[in-house]
Amino acid sequence: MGRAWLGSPPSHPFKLDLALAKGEHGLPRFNKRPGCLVPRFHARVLVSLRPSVLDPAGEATRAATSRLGVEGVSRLRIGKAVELEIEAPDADTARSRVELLSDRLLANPVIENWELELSEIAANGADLSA
Amino acid sequence: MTIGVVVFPGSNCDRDVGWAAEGCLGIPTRFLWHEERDLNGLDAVVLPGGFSYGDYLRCGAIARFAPVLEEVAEFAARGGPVLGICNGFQMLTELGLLPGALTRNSRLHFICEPTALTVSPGSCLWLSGYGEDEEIKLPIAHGEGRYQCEPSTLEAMEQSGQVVLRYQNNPNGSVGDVAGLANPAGNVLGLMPHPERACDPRTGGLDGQRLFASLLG
Repeated sequence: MGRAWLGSPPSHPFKLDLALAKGEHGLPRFNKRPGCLVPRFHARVLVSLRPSVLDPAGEATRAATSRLGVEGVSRLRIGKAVELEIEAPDADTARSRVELLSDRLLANPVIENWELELSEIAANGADLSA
Repeated sequence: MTIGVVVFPGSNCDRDVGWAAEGCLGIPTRFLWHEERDLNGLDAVVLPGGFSYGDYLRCGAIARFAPVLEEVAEFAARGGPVLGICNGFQMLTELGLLPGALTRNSRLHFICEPTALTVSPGSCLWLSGYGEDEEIKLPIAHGEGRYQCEPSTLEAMEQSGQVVLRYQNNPNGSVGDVAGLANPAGNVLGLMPHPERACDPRTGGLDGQRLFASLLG
């Protein structure tokens, strides 16, 4: 409108709690830039049986490959992929949280290994790593 | 003497344990919902068989985070007798109260049959009623009972007498024929066979009864 600003500015309707924004207590509701939503990350955790652990389901599946006429499959191991989305102030925090989940819940390190792929999701939902 | 039997969504042997303890031996039994935290007045806790939380992710992996199990872990640390049967054994390994893990049977089948076992009770509180190298028969019923651990872990447990139950005719591919393990203190026992199904002569022998009777001293 081009109207000159006279007098004192009105109080902002959203008062930003700086401690909260920095993630000092609980999950932050805002990013470092005020008014911005917390970044979201997409994680894919690939869980596989450790090489020393017998995989009878993988072996049974391998035996079926030749029945489809595909020869030469010498090794087949079955694991699982866990996909999740997580809100975190930054990528390092997201990574350390998903690593904790992978190690304590998603995989059992006694018998399984895991790998983590992490990427940020843009505000419009696009995967920023793509 | 009161035994607590934890009930998870998906447990299906909880009442069998109740029958074995209270119905057959007269030991009062209290059922504990998985969200409870109050173990006051209990002298022993049983984690029964079944499919807790649908066995999603891994057997026992989600049950491991149930509020009641935090209390059970503390109870075990104070020397309280804890027995994990089948799914309960899987929970004890997921909790880290016993080493190793239970994985898919080597021949993939769900096996449900009586199995011959050799008992080496050592200092295990739950097996005090059995003789050294006694042979007993208990039913098994599991699809994921193949015990797996590092060779060094198995050797250490063999040395310390923690391998208290062995299969005579290893049905599932477990390393060291392991059917049941005790912790070093002997108050925690995890086993894949179902002793509660061998406590009533009408349904399957009496070889499991001394396990529950051991609590009576």
